[in-house]
Amino acid sequence: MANAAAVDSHDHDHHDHKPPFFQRWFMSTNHKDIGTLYLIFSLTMLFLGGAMALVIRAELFQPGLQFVDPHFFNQMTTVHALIMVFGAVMPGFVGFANWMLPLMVGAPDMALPRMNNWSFWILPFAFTILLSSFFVPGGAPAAGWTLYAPLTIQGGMSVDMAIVAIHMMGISSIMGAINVIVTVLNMRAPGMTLMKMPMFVWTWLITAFLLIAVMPVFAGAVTMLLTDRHFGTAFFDPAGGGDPVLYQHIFWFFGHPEVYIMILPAFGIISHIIPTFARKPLFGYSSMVFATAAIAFLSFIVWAHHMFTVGMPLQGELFFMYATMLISVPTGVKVFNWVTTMWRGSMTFETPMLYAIGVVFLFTMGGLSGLMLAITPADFQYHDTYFVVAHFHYVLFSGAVMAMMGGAYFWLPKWTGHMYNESLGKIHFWLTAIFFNVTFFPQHFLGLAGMPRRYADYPVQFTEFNQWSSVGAFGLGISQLLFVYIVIATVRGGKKATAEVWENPEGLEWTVPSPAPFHTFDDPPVVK
Amino acid sequence: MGSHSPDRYFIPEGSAYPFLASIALFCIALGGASFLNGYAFAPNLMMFGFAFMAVMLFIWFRKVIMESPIYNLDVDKSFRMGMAWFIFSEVMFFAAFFGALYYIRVLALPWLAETEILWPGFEATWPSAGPKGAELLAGAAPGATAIEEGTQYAIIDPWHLPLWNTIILLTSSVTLTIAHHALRDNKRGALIFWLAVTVILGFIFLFLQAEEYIEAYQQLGLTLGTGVYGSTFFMLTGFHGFHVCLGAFILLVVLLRCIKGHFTAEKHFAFEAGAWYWHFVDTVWVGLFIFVYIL
Amino acid sequence: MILTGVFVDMLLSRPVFSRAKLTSSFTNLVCGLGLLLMSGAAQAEYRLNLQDPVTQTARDIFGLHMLIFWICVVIFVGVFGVMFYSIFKHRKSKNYEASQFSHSTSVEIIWTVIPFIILVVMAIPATQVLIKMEDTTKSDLTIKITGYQWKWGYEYLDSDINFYSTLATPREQIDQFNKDTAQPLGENYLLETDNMLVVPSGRKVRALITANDVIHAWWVPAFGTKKDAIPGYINELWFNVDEGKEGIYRGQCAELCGKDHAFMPIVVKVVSGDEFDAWVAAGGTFDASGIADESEIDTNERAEASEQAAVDSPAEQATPVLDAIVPAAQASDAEWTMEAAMAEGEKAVTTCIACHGQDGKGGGGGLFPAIADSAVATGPVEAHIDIVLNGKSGTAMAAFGSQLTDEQIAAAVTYQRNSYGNDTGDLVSPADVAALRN
Ligand code: HEA
Ligand code: HEA
Ligand code: HEC
Ligand code: CUA
Ligand SMILES: [Cu+2]
Repeated sequence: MANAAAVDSHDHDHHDHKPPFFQRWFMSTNHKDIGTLYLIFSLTMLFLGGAMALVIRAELFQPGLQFVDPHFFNQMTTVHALIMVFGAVMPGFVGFANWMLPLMVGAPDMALPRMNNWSFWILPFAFTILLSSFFVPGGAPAAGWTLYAPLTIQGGMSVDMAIVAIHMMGISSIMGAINVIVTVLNMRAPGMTLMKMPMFVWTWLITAFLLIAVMPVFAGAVTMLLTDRHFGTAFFDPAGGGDPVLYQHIFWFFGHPEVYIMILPAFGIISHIIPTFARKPLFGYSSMVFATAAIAFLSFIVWAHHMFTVGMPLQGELFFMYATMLISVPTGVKVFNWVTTMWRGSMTFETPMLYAIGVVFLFTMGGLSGLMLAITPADFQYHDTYFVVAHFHYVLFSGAVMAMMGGAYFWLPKWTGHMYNESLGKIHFWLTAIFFNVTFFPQHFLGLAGMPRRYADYPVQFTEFNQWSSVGAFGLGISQLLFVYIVIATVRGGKKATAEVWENPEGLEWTVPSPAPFHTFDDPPVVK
Repeated sequence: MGSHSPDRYFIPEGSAYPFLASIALFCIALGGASFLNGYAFAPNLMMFGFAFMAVMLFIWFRKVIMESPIYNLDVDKSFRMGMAWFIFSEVMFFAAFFGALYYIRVLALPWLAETEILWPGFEATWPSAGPKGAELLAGAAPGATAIEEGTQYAIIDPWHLPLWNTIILLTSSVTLTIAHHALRDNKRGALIFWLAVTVILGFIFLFLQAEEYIEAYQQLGLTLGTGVYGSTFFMLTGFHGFHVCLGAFILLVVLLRCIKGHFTAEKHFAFEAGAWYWHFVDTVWVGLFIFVYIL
Repeated sequence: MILTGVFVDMLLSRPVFSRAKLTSSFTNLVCGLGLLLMSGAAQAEYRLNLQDPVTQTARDIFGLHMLIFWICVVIFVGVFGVMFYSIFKHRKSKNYEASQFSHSTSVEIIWTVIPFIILVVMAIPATQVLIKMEDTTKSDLTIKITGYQWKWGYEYLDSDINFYSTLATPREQIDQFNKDTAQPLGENYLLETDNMLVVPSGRKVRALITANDVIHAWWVPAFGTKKDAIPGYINELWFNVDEGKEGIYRGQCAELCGKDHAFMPIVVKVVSGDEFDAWVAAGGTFDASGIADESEIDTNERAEASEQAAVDSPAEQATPVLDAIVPAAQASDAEWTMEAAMAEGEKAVTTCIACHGQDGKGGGGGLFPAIADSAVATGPVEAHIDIVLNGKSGTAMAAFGSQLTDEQIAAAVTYQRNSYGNDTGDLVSPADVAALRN
């Protein structure tokens, strides 16, 4: 039976034959459609998580409690972060991977297409559980996205819901990562050796490795949390011989690689955009690859820099300080490579390029503040203050999220077949970049002056910068509506895009027509 | 419709399985979380989820088995790689628990012992039920097989049941390898025999493991709640036992498929995947035997 | 200019615009934006950098912080100087022809090695400072600090002084939901406590830090110290405040510890060694005579509200702080009337209302149960006393047996059983509580 199907589908391989709505979107095995689903999901989550950030910012506009009580505030902080990290950034990059990896390596699809769809569909259900925890007694989890014991031991049912949701997200991420690895290692077009792979493919390959290595560890941590909560175990209970800090070690063994999971694909995207608009090959391709691998390797041995204040032995603190500082070297190599790629290029500044430059510039700021955090004695002052909050929004928003936006502008013509509106795109970039800085730059000052994070209310001397930050956040949020408008308008219509879209871009994806046909590379292209 | 010529990579047509399986997972997860918080509907929801999941996996795998004749070697390779990386993820899952064990024994307990003002008199020994469990521990020498006078728990003696279990699992790995060779050499009878032996050994292991748990709970007073020793002991062995269950079940299915003649000497991904998984579970056991039972 | 300054000032120091309703608060936000943009006048108090250090450690950290900061600035300016030069010169609109070079091993080696050297330059002083900070030996006195949800407990291990330190800012200032009942924010809003930690300058103070329930972190920025308070474990830190820097220093809890994480500040009064000795000799009371400089205490409490606070806040209840941690001798049953118990109880439940609410209706959407009409608070007395004494593990309900005296517990239980609409009429005596302690 299957054989028969195989034979007769052979000749009517219409490239644009798309299944009807329900089959197409709920039963898909097509990497492009699944990629689209991921991207839509990610954007939705960005807005949801952003809306929660706006609740946080509204409450922090003034000292005193104006809108929400502290317990609800903590729920907002926690769920904001969980949604952004696991709902917006990670699935967003998986969306890019789905769309672009097969196109970039010349594969007909992802290696395991049905599993691919499963990876996606688990997510909406997982987030349904996480979000419905707002409606159970005690509300959503309120112990921070790090879910530290023993605060989570005290929590209500929502903690259990978060735990099962995290298990589901973990299953989804691991399956997604397996798919990526297998696609990249097994499905490359003839002639595409590993060292000829586009950078985005490389960064995702390494990201996928990180995912498979650390998501299960996170699952282990929350499983222990669950048994401590309900089955009388004592992993994190000193009276029974456990240690709350054990949770932190396991969490950050996951958590630190996790932050590189969120940034490496962004590095990949940037490494495509800059050469395209500098009209010049990427500088130092192989050092880029090795730097990515080095970052991934180092990411496993720096986790305790999140825990300098828990009272580790001196040797431990020194080791983790040195190892953390070392990450600056490979990351620096990347930054230098990008800058050198621009050097003596022939640059133009379309929206993707603006985003790429913005990312390099702002990410480096976040990276440098990260380096400051790595200095243990100084971290005693920075830890758990808004300085940290500023650091990670610089790397996460202006690193990961803005890279995705740049990537979206870059490949949107390939995806939709239409050019986006360039002037609106530029306006969107400038609004985002400016409001982003208005929101998060003052948080450095707040943190240094001593404002702790996860505070629903604060002493009066922090008022002014909080107001800047809140105003910026609303501006930043509203600016993103423009992004939605631009994307929808581009999907609907606009100037027809050519196959190449940009001037002489590199890569197989630019050899197929725009929009990319439903099925591409049924017969593998030959590379060089 | 994808491209389905035998020399092309097989891309399945659209399928509702993933979506339905996600619903099943949703029911299990939500049911589980609600169950732990005492909601009346929860057990039903959870059971429905499990049943639904079982059905989904059954028809999904059946579909894959039916398609398998048109998978080319590239597809086969994708499956292999997928399985290998899945096992790697499992390794990391276990690593979290082994890491916890290491941390507790090497760092946490000595620190607690140093903390005189909070836990006067507590000493770091292993096994330990923690500062509050210290008095329970008095007199229960490591390796005791029964509760002595005045003590409240004892630990499993590694040289009885666990040793048998070690021998059983190691043997099963050997029989499995013999079966694999038989498959490669096209010796059907030997294949089925040795695979069946493997599966039976797996179930014996599980039976003994259950015996051990019953003994621990009923005679040794060793439970999940026995401080951090009980926690790590049951978490590690329990999680492993769950994997043996899974592995034995996989091999059982593979056995049935062998009997039906699904595999050829060249193409037998399912067999290999099951075998890898089994060897992995075995290796973990050796780690358990050393770090949980003996040391 | 001055006018806008005044406006901003009004906006910042007292929320005149705040409304209960969301809509008008958004107007407020817009007003805020307008005012911020219009005026250059800034709030007098804000700072851009770390707080002024008053210990050698904090100065070391400050130095380190400025060193790495400037290194980062130089790197940043260097890298992006090059990038912007390139952006301005090497653009297509200037008809710049792209060259096609794509690697250069020597350059790549250089920019791997130079950053590495820079890192070494940073790591050396960092290591030195860290080693000094971790050396808690040779201390002059030791204080045990315990974090509770949500207050700090201090025990002077060398002398017999123990007390708790709780937020002194009245609820009426914090709750700005309803403008009619809200009070304007005080000068030390959220940075004031009933009892201050008192330490001598010029002596090495070692602190042993732990927690009772969840993780907290004890942080006084001006001392350059921050350490997590972890239940079941002890962390150590030390500080030695410079002589001549006596005064009041404020810090806050720096690890998320639940609902009132923002409401457990740390206030340290640094006095000269002699004054400290006198204070200890006097039994560590917070009687004004024990501490030389009275005016400084007054800054701690807002002048207008101090009268009010004396009634409402826990300040009064804890004033003679001796023996607060160790249960005190009980009042004899003869004096223990319903009236006395209820009066005492109203004070004692200030601990409880953090979770169970002023009105006994609970909070956190059900996470913290209501006392009003609760099965425990209207059922058998023993169960009620038991949950207060021993807490309930796995929940935020702590064992208050070690924090409160028999009298306080008896009073709190009596109060809970006879208010919020509960009318059991039960009078629980300290002896009942003592009987249930084991
Ligand atoms: C995308 C995410 C991302 C990325 C990429 C990073 C990158 C880095 N982070 Fe960050 N970090 C987070 C996300 C991220 N972080 C999050 C989410 C948290 C908080 C979690 C929580 O508590 O909730 C956090 C917290 C955090 C802490 C803990 C702070 C605390 O709680 O006290 C520390 C401490 O060391 C740290 C350090 C670093 C360092 C050294 C890097 C480095 O990788 C940066 C390297 C880059 C550069 C240095 C810039 C470019 C380099 C050059 C231009 C070369 C020349 C430079 C030199 C030679 C110096 N981070
Ligand atoms: C990728 C990750 C990511 C991203 C993108 C963001 C984005 C933002 N974050 Fe987030 N944040 C984290 C990850 C992220 N954050 C993490 C990990 C924490 C730590 C949590 C913890 O402590 O546990 C944190 C914590 C955190 C805090 C500290 C809270 C605290 O300590 O109590 C604050 C405060 O300002 C904040 C603000 C913001 C803002 C203003 C944005 C803005 O960029 C958002 C911009 C807004 C939008 C893009 C949405 C636009 C929405 C609308 C216009 C409304 C429309 C409404 C609907 C459609 C419903 N975040
Ligand atoms: C840190 C938060 C917190 C504080 C402070 C607190 N409680 Fe509780 N209390 C709880 C929680 C949470 C529960 C619910 C425990 C459970 O799940 O059964 C609870 C339960 C109770 C109950 C049982 C109510 C019922 O119907 O189940 C009583 C009575 C009680 N507390 C009294 C007190 C008293 C008296 C104090 C002050 C001395 C106090 N609590 C302080 C959190 C707190
Ligand atoms: Cu105590 Cu935060
Ligand atoms: Cu990190």
